[in-house]
Amino acid sequence: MSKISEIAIYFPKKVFTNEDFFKLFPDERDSKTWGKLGINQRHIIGEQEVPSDMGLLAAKKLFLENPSLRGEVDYLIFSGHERDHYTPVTASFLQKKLGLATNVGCIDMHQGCASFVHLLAHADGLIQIGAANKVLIITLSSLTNQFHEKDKSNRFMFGDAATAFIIEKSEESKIESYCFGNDAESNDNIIILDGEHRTPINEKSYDSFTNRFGQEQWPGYFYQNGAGVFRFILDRVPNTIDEALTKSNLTREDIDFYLFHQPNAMVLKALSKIAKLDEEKLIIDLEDCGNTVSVSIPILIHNLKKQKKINPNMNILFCGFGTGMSWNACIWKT
Amino acid sequence: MENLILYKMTWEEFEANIRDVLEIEDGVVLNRDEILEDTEFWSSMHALLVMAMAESEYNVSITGEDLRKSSTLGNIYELLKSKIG
Repeated sequence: MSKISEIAIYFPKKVFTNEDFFKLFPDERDSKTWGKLGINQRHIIGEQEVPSDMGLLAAKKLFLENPSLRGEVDYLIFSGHERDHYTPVTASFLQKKLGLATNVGCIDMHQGCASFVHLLAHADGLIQIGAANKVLIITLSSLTNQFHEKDKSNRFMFGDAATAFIIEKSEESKIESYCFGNDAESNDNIIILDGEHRTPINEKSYDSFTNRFGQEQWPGYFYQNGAGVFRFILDRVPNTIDEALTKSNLTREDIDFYLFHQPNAMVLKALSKIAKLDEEKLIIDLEDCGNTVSVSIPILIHNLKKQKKINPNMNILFCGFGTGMSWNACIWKT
Repeated sequence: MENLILYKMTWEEFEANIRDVLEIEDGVVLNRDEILEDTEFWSSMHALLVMAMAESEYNVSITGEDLRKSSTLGNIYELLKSKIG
């Protein structure tokens, strides 16, 4: 059995407020749209900042607050699209920079906004098979680097952040009822078309075109079709919640907190209504950071722990969803 | 055999739900035939709210494609009516 124990968060210094946004896009100031998203500001990675350095700073903070951890960690997972080099894995560099022992396993893995439950499952599995006792997970997002300057929606919604946290062996707590799904049929709802092996950057990568959703898209930049993603969330997430509850033989009344990936407040409020979740149990906490991709659920855990709201004998349902299109859930019996 | 109660949505009920979900004040007149893109209350985000309303209030699924084909509130009303059956 395992538990989520110590956790630290790092935000880059640069802050992009709603006022900054409206100065860039003055025509948007009177729109009621932005107010519904529940975001006041987001942090943006510095121009000279290397993404994995954000993860390093989160982990250093974690070790500063818990000095004994450095010698106890026996596995390291790095999760972020933003690797340092093609090879070796970024976890390998972080192992060295953090001064971890050489008998620590190192691997990279990532699944965008749906990363968190995958990371828990892998760490939990390592503990279950006796391969590790304390797994350090470092995950980050610097997605704002991938936006076209005219892309209002994504510039408003996303922010950069990093986290480092520990999954460790436990006698009392367990994480169970993992459910996973993926459907590539509509995976062009969230995509960067150019820049990897299938389509390297070319002379047309930064020219816009009208895509099949009738929207302007730049092949070399991040694209998200809001309506398509929203439809996907409504179609997949409520069923996944039910699947996890059924696996654990629990009902909605048994759940203390729903900690979901945080795309924006409007989507989460709609989701709570459609999936018939108690609004007070579905935590919305992205006012100061926006959608931070794989860091969004760890931020919720960090803030609830700080408020001493995560206590023994609770049932916490995690749910992630995003690029892929991918979705998942699991239940943490604290 | 189960008793089937056929549900009929009215324009008045639809309008009340639209006002509620899009937070349109009572003073604003909603015209069935006005092009949504020309109104002050409509944006792509509001299309998402209508998708959610269809699901929570009427238990029917509408897609972004459905909404793109609906240029007026009247079109959305007819779309929902056809989905409700």
